[in-house]
Amino acid sequence: MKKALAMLLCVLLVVSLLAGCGSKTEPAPSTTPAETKPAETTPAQTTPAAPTPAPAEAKFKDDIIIGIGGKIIDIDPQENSNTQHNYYFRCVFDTPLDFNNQTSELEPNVCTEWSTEDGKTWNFTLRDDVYFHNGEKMTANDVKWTFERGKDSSSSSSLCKPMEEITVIDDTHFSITLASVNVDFPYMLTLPTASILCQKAVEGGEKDALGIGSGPWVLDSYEFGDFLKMTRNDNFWGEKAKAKSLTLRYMPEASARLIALENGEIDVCADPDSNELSHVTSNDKLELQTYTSSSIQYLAFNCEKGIFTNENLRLAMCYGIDRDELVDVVFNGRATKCGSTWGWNEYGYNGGGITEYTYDAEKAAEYLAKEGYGPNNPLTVHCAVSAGTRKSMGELIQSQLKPLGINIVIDEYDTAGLSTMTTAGDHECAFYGCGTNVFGDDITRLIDSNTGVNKSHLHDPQVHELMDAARQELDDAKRTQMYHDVQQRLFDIGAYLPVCTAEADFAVKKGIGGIDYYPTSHHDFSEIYFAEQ
Amino acid sequence: MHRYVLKRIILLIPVLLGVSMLVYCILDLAPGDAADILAPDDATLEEKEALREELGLNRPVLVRYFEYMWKLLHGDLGESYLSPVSVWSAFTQKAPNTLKLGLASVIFAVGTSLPLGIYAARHRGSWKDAISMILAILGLSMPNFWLGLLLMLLFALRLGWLPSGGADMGLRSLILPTITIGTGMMATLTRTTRSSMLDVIRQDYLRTARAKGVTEEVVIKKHALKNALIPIITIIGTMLGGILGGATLTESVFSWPGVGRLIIDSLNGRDTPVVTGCIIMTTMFFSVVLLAVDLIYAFVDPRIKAQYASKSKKGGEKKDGEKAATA
Repeated sequence: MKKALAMLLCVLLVVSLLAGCGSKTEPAPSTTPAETKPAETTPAQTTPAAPTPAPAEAKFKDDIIIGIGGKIIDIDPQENSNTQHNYYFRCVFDTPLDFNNQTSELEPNVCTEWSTEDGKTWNFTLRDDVYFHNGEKMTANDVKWTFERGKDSSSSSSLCKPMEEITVIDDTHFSITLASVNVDFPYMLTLPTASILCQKAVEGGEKDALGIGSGPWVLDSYEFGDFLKMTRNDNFWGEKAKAKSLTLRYMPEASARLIALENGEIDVCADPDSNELSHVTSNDKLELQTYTSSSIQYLAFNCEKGIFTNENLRLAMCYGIDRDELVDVVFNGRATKCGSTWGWNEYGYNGGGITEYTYDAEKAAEYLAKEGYGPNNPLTVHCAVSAGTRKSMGELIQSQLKPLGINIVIDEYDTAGLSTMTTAGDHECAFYGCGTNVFGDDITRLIDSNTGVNKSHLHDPQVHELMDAARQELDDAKRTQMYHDVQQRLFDIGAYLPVCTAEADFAVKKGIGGIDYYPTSHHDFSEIYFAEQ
Repeated sequence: MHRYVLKRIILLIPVLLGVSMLVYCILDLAPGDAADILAPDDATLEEKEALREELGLNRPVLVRYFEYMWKLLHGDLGESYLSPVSVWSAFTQKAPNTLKLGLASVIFAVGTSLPLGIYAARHRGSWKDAISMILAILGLSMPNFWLGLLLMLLFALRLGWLPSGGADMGLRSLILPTITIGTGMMATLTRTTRSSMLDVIRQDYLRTARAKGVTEEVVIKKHALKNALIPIITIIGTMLGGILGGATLTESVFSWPGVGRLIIDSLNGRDTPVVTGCIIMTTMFFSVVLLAVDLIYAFVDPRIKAQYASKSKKGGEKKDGEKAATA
């Protein structure tokens, strides 16, 4: 009896070990922090690698499946703007202008020319060979109708509402007059929220009319919360896609997504678990494509109410937190410490050019002592976090700040809960993140008193004044200086402690190329290809 | 019998009211709402508030709840906050997948646990019994997501026999999630079968049957199992009732597009109408299955059928008595 039991237990143990451990091949050197640390460049120099051009002689696979971690629940580009929806929007729809991630320059898209004299009225010339997927020709009227519709939408309203007047001159020429000068306006026309819809299709009630665009891929079929399949647009005005179909499949579990890639069920695994990257690097059929995200992970102090209305306490936290340790421990060294509360990809970035916080426990203690706090009279701080890295950051600063006399109490919420309570200002401080677009004014979201992303509830007249002036300043040098001044001011008052921007990965089968990685994580798969090895 | 069924159906109304109100209120208590999820990053506070107003989220929870129930009375489960689809359409799109997976799991569980439970009972106290029970305890103790990942690693990644996820490869897609969910069910059912069989095996009528020379196989299959079935049917009924709720973790691990995953995603998105609608449908399904199980008892066990019959007879006599008194 005992023998049989022992044997059974052994068998079970062996099966578990076989199933759960190791991989077929000898593991390649794992991605230790030292190996994956970003190169010693300033973040501003870290531009995304250009998408690999498709090899001329290669044979391409017809079908590509991408496993994504978030679900697609809408086909209307004006009603959703999160990462996964933007994957699809960038493939199916065209925007007036395009943005080159490598040169950081605007490029023509369906609009070939654009100009302004005063930054308020913008003139555009539309290509005359652009057709929607239903065969309708795109005209300036479609653009006008789209932007007017966008004023009442969830996602495009911030782009469209400032458009005071849209004038159609003829089928290929139109002008847009804004309510006030905005030199960043053409950059906003490169975002998926500026996707152009087909007026006739939507008004005519065509099936899936809101999914009819003019981009290189045609919406084929979908099931919300499961998959969205696109087929190649053979009538696309630009370079046609190499594959015949492209499917975005929702696979919520990162580990399961990676297993599906290793098993050959999908071709691209978005955002694999950073603890499992060695499975990719050790597999000779797979490769890791890495980019530096522009999403700033920060600690926001509530400047409107509670203890952090006190600037000294904010600065005590800023100087008392060792961000290098956060990067090394929480992000395994796969992140870059922020030099500014500004995206490294953003116009006017001045990382390294301003006086920033260096870890200085003595200075932090001095700021605390000014307010009567210290190891003998500790300050209790509630820090709101969500699960994952934000919680880990909270736990680490808990131990970092304790010797100084700051007791961090971690309040954990789910993502929606954290968003709401920080917007409502019910927090003392919170770890949060914000992806930044390329135009300088994009940072307004973080510091404008009227937005939901201003998690520090900052109302600083000097900052507002500078941002308003910069938005309307046509002189580049002056505008840049204003943005630099804002960044310095933000450090001086300690409303945010910008921690880092993390490295992000895509695991792909060897032969996959053409993905245009956006630091904002809203990547462009429209030119993806799979060259057979 | 008819009165009993009617009574159970009527009892379903307060159950549904209670469940829906609980879900609605608990979701309202949770921090965050759909407007936060829907609004883009650059939305102003006014835009968020306008969105909240558009969705009706600025009104008191009870007002929203009664509006929702009023619509429900008219057969309308409402619209999703996040997606341009009705709750009914979202639910019916996912329900077949969940039903398929749930049924397969129950079949797997019944198919493995009945023989295992009977075997254990017949060899009570022996090492065979111990092994059967160890297997059952293992099935019960292993977390579904962990077992799912292990199965995936072994059968999908190492052996390459089966797909690791999705629902688009027919029967092959069904196998791993079925085993994952079914193992937990199997464990409970094996233990129930064993203990139920042990109760029956000791009865005098089985000793009599054996004494009369009936073969052991016939004794077990024809006499013992039939009489041990009531608790087993109860467990199977509960399992069947629960399948529509989905096995949320397993559905997530295997990227299975079912109701469980829909509920979890909707919970994360604070999509109250979808969560409430799905839970109402699940509750209804659960109650109907349990009612069906209660009715099946009567067919399996003549004593219960006789109880129904005597109750209705008493009811009839009582009525006759009342009529006579009135006359």
